[in-house]
Amino acid sequence: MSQDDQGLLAQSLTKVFGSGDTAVEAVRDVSFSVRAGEFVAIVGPSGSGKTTLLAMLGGLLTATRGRVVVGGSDISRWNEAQRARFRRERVGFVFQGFNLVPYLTAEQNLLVIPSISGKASREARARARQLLRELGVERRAHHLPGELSGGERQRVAISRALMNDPLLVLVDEPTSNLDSERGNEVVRSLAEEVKMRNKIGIMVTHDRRMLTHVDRVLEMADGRLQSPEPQP
Amino acid sequence: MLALQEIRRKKLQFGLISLIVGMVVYLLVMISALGSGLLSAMSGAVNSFDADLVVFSADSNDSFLRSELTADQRDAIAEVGGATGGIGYLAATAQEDSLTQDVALFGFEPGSVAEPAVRSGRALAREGEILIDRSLSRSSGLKVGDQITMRNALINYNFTIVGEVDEGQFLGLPSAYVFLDQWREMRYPGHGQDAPAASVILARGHTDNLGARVEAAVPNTSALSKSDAIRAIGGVTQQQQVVMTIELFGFVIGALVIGSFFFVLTMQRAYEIAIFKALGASSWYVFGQLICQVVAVALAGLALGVPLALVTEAALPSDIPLQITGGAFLTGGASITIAALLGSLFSARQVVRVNPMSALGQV
Repeated sequence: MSQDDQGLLAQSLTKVFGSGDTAVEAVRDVSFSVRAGEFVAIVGPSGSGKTTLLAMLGGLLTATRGRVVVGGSDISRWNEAQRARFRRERVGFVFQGFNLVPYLTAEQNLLVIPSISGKASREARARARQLLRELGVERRAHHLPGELSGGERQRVAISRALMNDPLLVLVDEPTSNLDSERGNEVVRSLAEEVKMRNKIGIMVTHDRRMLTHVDRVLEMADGRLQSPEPQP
Repeated sequence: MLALQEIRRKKLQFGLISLIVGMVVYLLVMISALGSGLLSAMSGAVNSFDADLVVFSADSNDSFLRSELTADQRDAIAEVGGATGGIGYLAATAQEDSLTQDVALFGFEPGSVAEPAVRSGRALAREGEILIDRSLSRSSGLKVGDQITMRNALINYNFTIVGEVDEGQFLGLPSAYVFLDQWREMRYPGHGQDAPAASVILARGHTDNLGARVEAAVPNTSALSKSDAIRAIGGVTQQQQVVMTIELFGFVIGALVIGSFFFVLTMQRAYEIAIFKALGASSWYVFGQLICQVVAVALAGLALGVPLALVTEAALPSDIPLQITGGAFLTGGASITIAALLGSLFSARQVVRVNPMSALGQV
């Protein structure tokens, strides 16, 4: 069980938006698990529910039914304050597109993470430097996002996702603003970080060329997993 | 501080709002200064009385112009307790060569609490000598040693200026001081000993409800605290109400300007706020950042508006009743900070309503 405590478990996960006649089931009865150190892709056409699923895994949305267990805690019914704390402490997000704060330098964008946890410190600064160095963007530390290339921006975003040393790294369409060569590089470094740091890595993408870097692919269509794993 | 970084990167926007806030601070300080200037011009000389209580005659409607107290009343008031002293009031005209100037002429009982403190020159020694207020020497150029004529009821009285006091103005007129007996002679010429003894009696004493005891012990008197006596001066209350109303408008305008600026700013960065929230920031955190910026803008506005007010005071001619006091800065500074914080509450709802899901490009 101690191995499972470090992983992620989704059980009969369902999300319904609206109610009555207008109710829409965005995610229907999805079950799967991901081990620490495993990098998994969720693919599917737009509207298939993959972003909603990602939001439930990351504590951005509550589940209507079913549960999400991350690192031994069931987060699926937590209130907003509990989920915000979960996101601060256990989750690293890489959002789609231009997701850095435009008026903060690369380094300051990383320092947002300790700042919102009230843990700004010299150690946090050193850690930000270290992460930027590892992702090869250290010399861009004092540049604003607008002065960085698309690839550099994504590397800064990945560094930010690792700032709080999360259990779970969630990535939303990481290549949507990149050409395929840069996209490939970015996803490869993501995969490396997940492996090296023993994180639970989950990436939502529509770009099938990126699937060479992942351990496993979950296909979604119409809110369901296409090849459901056996119930754990 | 990350919130201050945004100000650094958006110098133009924050510079302009700070400029506007600075102008509102300037306005508030100047209005407050005009208010105290007006109050001082109307009642400075009364405020300078070294007394807790001003006793008027009951039928005077608490007016220095109408109040008349007899010698019996004066003696009875002195018996109630505390230190007392008679004051006589008269609006007279000072003349010297080409100068004609209305003054507020006070008669005081020598050696009593009513006697003003001499700042330069010497105290009165005999009748025919007069003390003038600084406001009079400044506006007219009169100085110690000069001869002036005071005219009242078609009679001229000659005086030598022997000293200067710093008591202030009354009803917009500079004050001047003579012995009470001389005032009596000028105010009631030909009445001799039948004339009233004084306009009002000042009393000083720490005993509680001295006023009530005076009114009870001495018939036909009306005892007011000094601040009530000032408020009873015709027009003072109305003037101060006008000033306060204008200040209130300035306050509301300040709150609206700052409020709408931060409201628009908050709407513009809804996406950034969504990212902050998705990363786990609470609405409190985001709002705290906003408050930091609001306070920074208010401080910048103060840093602009306060020196501007000081420069204006130095540049304006001295006959404009403008008195920049610590209170004026406090009023300006405190009200703009409160206005800024109230204004930013508009944005609080906005911050709370941002859904972190929009960071994922949904909702």
